[in-house]
Amino acid sequence: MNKRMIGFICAILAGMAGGLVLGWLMKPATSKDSTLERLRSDYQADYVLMVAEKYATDQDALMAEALLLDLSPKAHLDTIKQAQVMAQQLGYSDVEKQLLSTLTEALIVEPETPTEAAQ
Amino acid sequence: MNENRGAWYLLTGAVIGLIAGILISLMVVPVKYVNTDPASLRAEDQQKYRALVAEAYLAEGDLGRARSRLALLGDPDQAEALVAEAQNILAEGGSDNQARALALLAAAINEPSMLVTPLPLAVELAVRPTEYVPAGTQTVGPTRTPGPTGTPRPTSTPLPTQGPPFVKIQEFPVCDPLPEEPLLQVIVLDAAGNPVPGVKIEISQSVGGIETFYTGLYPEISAGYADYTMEPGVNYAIRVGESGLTTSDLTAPSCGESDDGKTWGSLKVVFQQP
Repeated sequence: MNKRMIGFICAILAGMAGGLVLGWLMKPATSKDSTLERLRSDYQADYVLMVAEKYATDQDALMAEALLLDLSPKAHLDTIKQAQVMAQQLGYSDVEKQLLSTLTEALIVEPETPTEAAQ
Repeated sequence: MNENRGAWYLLTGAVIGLIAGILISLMVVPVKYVNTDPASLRAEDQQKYRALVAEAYLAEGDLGRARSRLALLGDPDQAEALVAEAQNILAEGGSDNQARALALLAAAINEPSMLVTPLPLAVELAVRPTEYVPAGTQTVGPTRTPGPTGTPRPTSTPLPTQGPPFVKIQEFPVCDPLPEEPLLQVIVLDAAGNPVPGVKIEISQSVGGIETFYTGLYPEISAGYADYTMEPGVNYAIRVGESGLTTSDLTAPSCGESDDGKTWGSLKVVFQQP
């Protein structure tokens, strides 16, 4: 490879590095395209609490699951556990912690209803 | 022969790299925001969040907390955003319960003195909750941003839509001012004569089809107000509340003649709990 080719490749790489930085800076910092999944953990905990409060009145476990899936595609029980940890750190009231526990129990009992029905 | 082409090849390479870098940064590895707040959510997720706040409000009846949660979304007018979302949900045939919750919360924000009773819990809460104990001691954590301090649950009073069925007490045409389109204007009052938001109204017409709408979506008029655009000459029947009687033969009133034919006014119907 001659010197000219090496220089050409280096110029491309340098340009690409500059382009990446430029592109990332072009993205507005106030962009409103975040998702529930990327909420800060204390906001996520409050979201889970709202799901638990809703579940406590309608007992719709499938809806609760769907709402938790919006928050995180991983296992919803893990999501609630994280919320429970946060609830302890942030000093949620006993009633609120209990609502979270009740939601956990409900989703342990009937977590896979659609899948089981499919099988 | 030695060709002298200068350093143009370097500039060419840099431009190619620059364009490729910008495309990659915008399309392949765009900026991802983490640890965001609800105000930065995309519109779709903001709507989900707002609806959940309203449903949680119905569960706990804590207006202060609901307002704190809504404040995180940064809506310039919380009630207006709630009403707009409720109307969208109804227009798109979405969840009636969500629309009702949004309408009720909007009404409560507009009239903070309004009492909304928490829905009864469908689950039994033990005296001592079973807490999840994390592995390891965690002492440092973020401050609790969204949730205000735990407010005691309000004492139980009847839900706005519960109690005796609403009965029609008044019905009259509205010709002055003449509306652009004939409206069925429904006003729902409780026994004390106060407007009641969040009341479900089912409307059916002689040609078939049932639609649902709720009071409280126009808080600037009245928390107990709802309206529906009528087709002239069509008979409608409505049922107010879950246990109300059906009121039929509701039709757009004629308000005289014009060059284009008949002009149609609105029909105002007032319902009240006995």
